[in-house]
Amino acid sequence: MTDLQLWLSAVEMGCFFGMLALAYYLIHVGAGFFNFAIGPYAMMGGLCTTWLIITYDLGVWPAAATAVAVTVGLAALTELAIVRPVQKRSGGGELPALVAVAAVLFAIQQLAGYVFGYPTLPGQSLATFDPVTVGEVTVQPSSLLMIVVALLSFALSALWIRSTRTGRLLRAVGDSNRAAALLGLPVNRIRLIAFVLAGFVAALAGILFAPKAGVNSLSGLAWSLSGFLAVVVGGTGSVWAPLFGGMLLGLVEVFLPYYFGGQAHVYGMLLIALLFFALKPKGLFVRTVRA
Amino acid sequence: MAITRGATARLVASLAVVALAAAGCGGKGGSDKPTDGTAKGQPIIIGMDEDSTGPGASYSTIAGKTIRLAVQEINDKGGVLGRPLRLVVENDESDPTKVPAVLQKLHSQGAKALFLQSGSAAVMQAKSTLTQLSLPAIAPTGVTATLVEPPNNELIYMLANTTKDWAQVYCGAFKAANINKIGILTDDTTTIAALNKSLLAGMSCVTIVATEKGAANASDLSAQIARLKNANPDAVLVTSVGGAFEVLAQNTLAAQLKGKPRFSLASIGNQPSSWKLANPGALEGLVFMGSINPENLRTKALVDFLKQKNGDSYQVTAYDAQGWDSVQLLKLAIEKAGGPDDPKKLNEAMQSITGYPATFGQASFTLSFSASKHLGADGACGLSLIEFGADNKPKGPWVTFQPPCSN
Amino acid sequence: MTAQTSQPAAATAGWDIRDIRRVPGIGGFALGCAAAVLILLWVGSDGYKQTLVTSAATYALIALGMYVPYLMAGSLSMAYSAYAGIGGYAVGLISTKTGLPLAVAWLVGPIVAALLAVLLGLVTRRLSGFFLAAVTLLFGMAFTAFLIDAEALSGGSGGLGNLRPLNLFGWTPSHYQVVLGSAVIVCVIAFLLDRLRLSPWGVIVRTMRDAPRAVEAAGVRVPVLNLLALALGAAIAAVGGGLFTYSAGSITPDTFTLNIVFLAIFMPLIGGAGTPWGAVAGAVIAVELTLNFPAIQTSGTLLLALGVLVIMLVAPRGVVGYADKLRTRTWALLRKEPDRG
Repeated sequence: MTDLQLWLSAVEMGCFFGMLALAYYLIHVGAGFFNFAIGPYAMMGGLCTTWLIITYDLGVWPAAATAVAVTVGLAALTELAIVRPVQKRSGGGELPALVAVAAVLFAIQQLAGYVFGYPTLPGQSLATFDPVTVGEVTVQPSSLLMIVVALLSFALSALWIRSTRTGRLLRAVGDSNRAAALLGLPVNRIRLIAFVLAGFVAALAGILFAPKAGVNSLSGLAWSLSGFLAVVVGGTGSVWAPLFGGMLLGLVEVFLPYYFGGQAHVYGMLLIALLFFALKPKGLFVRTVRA
Repeated sequence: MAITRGATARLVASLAVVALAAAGCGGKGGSDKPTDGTAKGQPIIIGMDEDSTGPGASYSTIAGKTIRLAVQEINDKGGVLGRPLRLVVENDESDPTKVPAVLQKLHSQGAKALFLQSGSAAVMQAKSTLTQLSLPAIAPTGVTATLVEPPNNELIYMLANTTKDWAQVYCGAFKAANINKIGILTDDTTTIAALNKSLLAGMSCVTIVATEKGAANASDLSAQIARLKNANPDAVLVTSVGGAFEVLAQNTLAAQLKGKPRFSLASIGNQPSSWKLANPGALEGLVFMGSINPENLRTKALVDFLKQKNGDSYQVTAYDAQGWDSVQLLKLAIEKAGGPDDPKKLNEAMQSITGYPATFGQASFTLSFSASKHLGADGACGLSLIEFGADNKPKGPWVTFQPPCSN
Repeated sequence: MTAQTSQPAAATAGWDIRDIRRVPGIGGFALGCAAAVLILLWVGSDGYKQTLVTSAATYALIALGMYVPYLMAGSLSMAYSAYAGIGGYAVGLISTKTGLPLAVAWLVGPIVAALLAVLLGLVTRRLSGFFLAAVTLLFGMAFTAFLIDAEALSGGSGGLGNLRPLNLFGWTPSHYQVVLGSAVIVCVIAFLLDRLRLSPWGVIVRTMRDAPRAVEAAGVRVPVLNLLALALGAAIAAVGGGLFTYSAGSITPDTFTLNIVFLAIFMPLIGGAGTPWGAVAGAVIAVELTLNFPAIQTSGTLLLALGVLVIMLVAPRGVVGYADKLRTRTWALLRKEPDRG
């Protein structure tokens, strides 16, 4: 494990998975369930940006801003139009919500393919400077940006949850939607904020990660699974836990193929999922005292 | 409750509008449908199984578009035996479970022969259905040798050189460039797994020091490439269906294995849209198995024709040429059989085509078929090694080695 | 037949407190068979329509397989692409690598699939909901990777083809008879599942979904029931996989993809989750939309996905549920009429 280039890759992957996991985390804290449509949100961010640039000759920044807005809209629509009515009817059961987000995931993939086309499109670089060479390691501008933005979004999220009223409400609401409603807390508004923020973070992650290997309408499912694994591995005990889970997963994704070759990571991911889900379903960082 | 119901109803309505809008523009695939042109008489119906929306859409539609243009061109010039060709198209989304139904549907619409323009797993699934329906079919862009080998290969035809010939060409190239050890980077698709099997079996001329596999939708290949680096090969050969995987591989190779000679299959050269995915200069020096050769006059004519139809910036690929030739071959077969209606006769007519000068490959390259030869290519002349330039676009024939053209 | 009908009714009266609607199993069976006969009449000798029926039967069997643990026991397992694949590979392997009668494949495939489901169920016994869905999705992906890697067994990426025709004691069914047979199999399995749903076992399984502790307290071992449901579901999906492989004549690692798994989750929603017949109706609608919808060349699947969302919001009981409501209302209306007179 001495090849620094590999560590760089692992960290970059880790930051991406971490951001996806952060999006999961926000919704899980605020609404108490896992939104499997996070991956497709990220895909939407990346794919929509490129499509706008190719089709309408938009600049990178306006295109990215539009894509983020569209994704945030989708996230809000998921909560308002699908999850909330379904959960209201089913009385908070887990299965209907799960099926609903599976349907959302599938629908966003199909819709994106229909609107943006099915081939893989190149990601867009938000920063254009020459690759930085440190010793033997070449750092692409997109990698640098990914890492910086991931750290920033985690720091900002932590700050927001700790020191704003809405942030603190988020945790209170997430612990029990029903109890919070009885207390007169604005449950619906807080949940919506969680979804919007998650959509924002996911879209940003997608845009930043797309330059690495391009993005197509079907990228979302694999991203959803990676993000979910990251949030489960990390746990929901602290805002930073998802980043930790993401990093661990990034290491697995890079070093497992390095030592065992080939498809090792496919089997490895399954193994990690089984191990963690069976032994530590709450993740590495568990919140022991619930406020 | 009444209020929330109202809100839900509105949202549902907006979803329904989206669905309707999607349905409304759903017919756009049919707008460039070829017309009967100047040909009169009863149309000859040809079916095409095209993946226009699934994972194979990126390559399937390139040849599909040219097939439509070729049909239009034939009809404009009076058709086949005075009758127009009429194309019926169905989409299987490269999903093998849909293939039997799609082929049956084409058959029930009266198709007398088929173009199979879909993912290779789907085309493999199609073979047994073809036998059930006794419909002759051409897979214009197929390169997997097993496709035209038993079982169920009586009715399926392919044009381009298969991987067996590729192995010879690579061997010649490695010898010329003094390469003894190669490392292989491959994706995990079933298409490429089948291709590797036959390609690598024919490459005993070099030592394969490492074979690394990555997921086709991988977002990182640095581990695989670090392993390749440890094996210290003289050159790296990337075998993939192209697209994002290939470009990610080349990007990472360019950064981590600077200066190492790189070779690739045909797909990267056939996907102009993928070139834009590469980092600046990342494809420079990459040598791929091309089949578009500017010295072939028929290729030149096709390039002119397609630029006139699709605009000057259109990049003509082997997929275009193979789609074009497939239509011409079918026309020949129908003419030889005296009509499209007897599938047995049509199949025999297809097998009697010899020495058809191809629109791809070197100038003297021809296609021939027989009862035991369902693969058109005559010799390795259909191939040429092409090198990428610094602008991430094919620069021209690789100077170190070109496959010898014996015939 | 009368004895059969009275049994579920008695069982329902005694056990089922939740399901007041009480659809007697035989009623659904009669309706399902009538629909099947109509469809088969519409099909006739048209090869394309026959293939539509076998595709619909395959989808229906996979959806029915998922229905058992998902809607009855409340666990969403998404490994059904693997189970259907096992059924398919059983047909392929027995046909190409052994001299055994092909019919054995429909015995071996479901048993192997059931065993694998039990094994996976044991490993994941503590998981539910999102966790189970994620693990089983990953399992499906790993299974495809395994099929590609295990070339000696599975024929690698090229898969297995050139299958023998079925031979039952010297009788080789024609293509149409296979189509007929697949419709019959779907109807019988849906009927049996419907009966099972209304039987004491089914009631316990469904209670387990809603109140596992109560069932456990009553002395029933929940994990065992759960495993049984998973095994049964996997076996049914394997029958479907075998059926498709036989009628299509070949199987590859990519034949059954995650796409089918998603569609199979949605089919009971479209058709109506109240009864297994909903899954069958959903499969017919899904095939109709994705394969036989002439107006939309490009996006039957998109329409299906959006349709599922709409159905989930406005018609949670699905098509069959709505039809049933309509039937009850009409009946009530008809009964009221004489009262007024």
